[in-house]
Amino acid sequence: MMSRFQEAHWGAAVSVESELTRLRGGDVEAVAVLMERYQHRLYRYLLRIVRQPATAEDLFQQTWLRVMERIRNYDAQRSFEGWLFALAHNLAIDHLRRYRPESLDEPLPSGDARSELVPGTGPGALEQLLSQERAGWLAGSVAELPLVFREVLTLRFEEEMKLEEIAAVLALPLGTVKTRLHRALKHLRQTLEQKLENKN
Amino acid sequence: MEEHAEIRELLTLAAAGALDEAGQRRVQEHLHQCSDCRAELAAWQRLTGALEALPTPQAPLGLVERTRRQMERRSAAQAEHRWNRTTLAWLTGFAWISTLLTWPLFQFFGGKLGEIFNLSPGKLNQVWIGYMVVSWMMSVVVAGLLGQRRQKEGRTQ
Repeated sequence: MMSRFQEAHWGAAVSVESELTRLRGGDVEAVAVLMERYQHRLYRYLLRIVRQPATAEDLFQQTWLRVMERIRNYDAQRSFEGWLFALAHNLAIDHLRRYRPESLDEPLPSGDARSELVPGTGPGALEQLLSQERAGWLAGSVAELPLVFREVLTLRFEEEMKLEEIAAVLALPLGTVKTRLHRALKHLRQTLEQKLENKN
Repeated sequence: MEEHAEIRELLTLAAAGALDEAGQRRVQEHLHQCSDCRAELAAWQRLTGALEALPTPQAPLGLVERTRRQMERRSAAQAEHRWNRTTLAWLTGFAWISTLLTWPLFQFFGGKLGEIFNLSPGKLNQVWIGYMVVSWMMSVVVAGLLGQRRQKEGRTQ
C-alpha cells in the first residue's frame, strides 16, 4: 500500500512483469527502468542500515548487479519488491559483518529490559517531544537504535511493508518480527524521552 | 488489572497496525473503558505517525546512470569471458587433434630420423612422447600468460 506522498515520488505501484521478462533476457535497459522506480526507496533502506551515504551508494550498485546475476532464480510468484529488499538486506549484513562487525549490535538479551529500567515519562512528555524539532530528533534517535530495530522500523513505517513481507525480507518468523517491532518502538520512545530529560 | 497490563503491552503493535483482528478487537473493547490506555495509544500513534512522515533521503544524482554503466561493463566482461572460454575449448581440441595427427607422420619419417640420429624404435617413441608433453606444456604456459595479459588490459581500461 503506497501513501499519496510515495505515489507522487515514485509513481503508482505498477506491475514490473514486463521489465522482469526483458531482464531475464539480459536486457540492461529493463533494469534501468526498475532502478529508476526503486532508487529512492532502496537507497533510503540501505542508508538506514549502514548509516553512511557512500556505503549505501556502493551497496545500491551491488544490489542491482546481484539482481542481474540472480534474476533467473527469482520466483515470479513472489513480490519483486520483497526479493529486491531481501538481496539488499543480505548484502548490507555481509558488508557490516566484514567491515564493521561492531555495528551488528544486537538488541538487549532481556528484550524490554532497558526500556523498563527508566520509568516512562508518560504520553504527555512524548507528545511534547514530538511537537518540538520533530524530524531532526526523531531521525537522530532512529539512527542511534541497534540495527535490528532500525531495520524493522524502516520497513514498516517508511516502506509500509506488511509484517509478512518484512518477515520474508529478513528471513525471520512472523512472531520475531512482531517482537522486534514492539521492542523497537519502546526503545525509540525511551531514547526520545531520555533526550527530552537531558534537554530539560 | 492483569487485562489492563496485557493490553498496555499490545498498544505498540496496535499503533503500528500490526495486530491481528482478534487482538485489535480486544484492544478496542478495553479502550472503551480505560482512558489511560486511550491516551497511551494516542501517544504511540503520534510516534508511528511521525515515523511515517520522516523525510526521505534522496538517492544521489546520477546513481542510476553510474549503476547502469557498471552493469554494462559487467555484462560485457561476462560476454567476453564466455567467448574466451569457448575459444579456449576449441583451440585445446584443435591442439590435441593436431598433436595426435603427428603420430602417422612420425611413424612415416621416424625410420629415417632413427637412421640419421642412430636411435632405436623404442627411443624414437620416447622422443615422440617427450615432444607431445613439451608442446602441451608450452601451450598451457602460453595460454596462461595470454590470459594474464588480457586481465591486466581489462583492469587498466
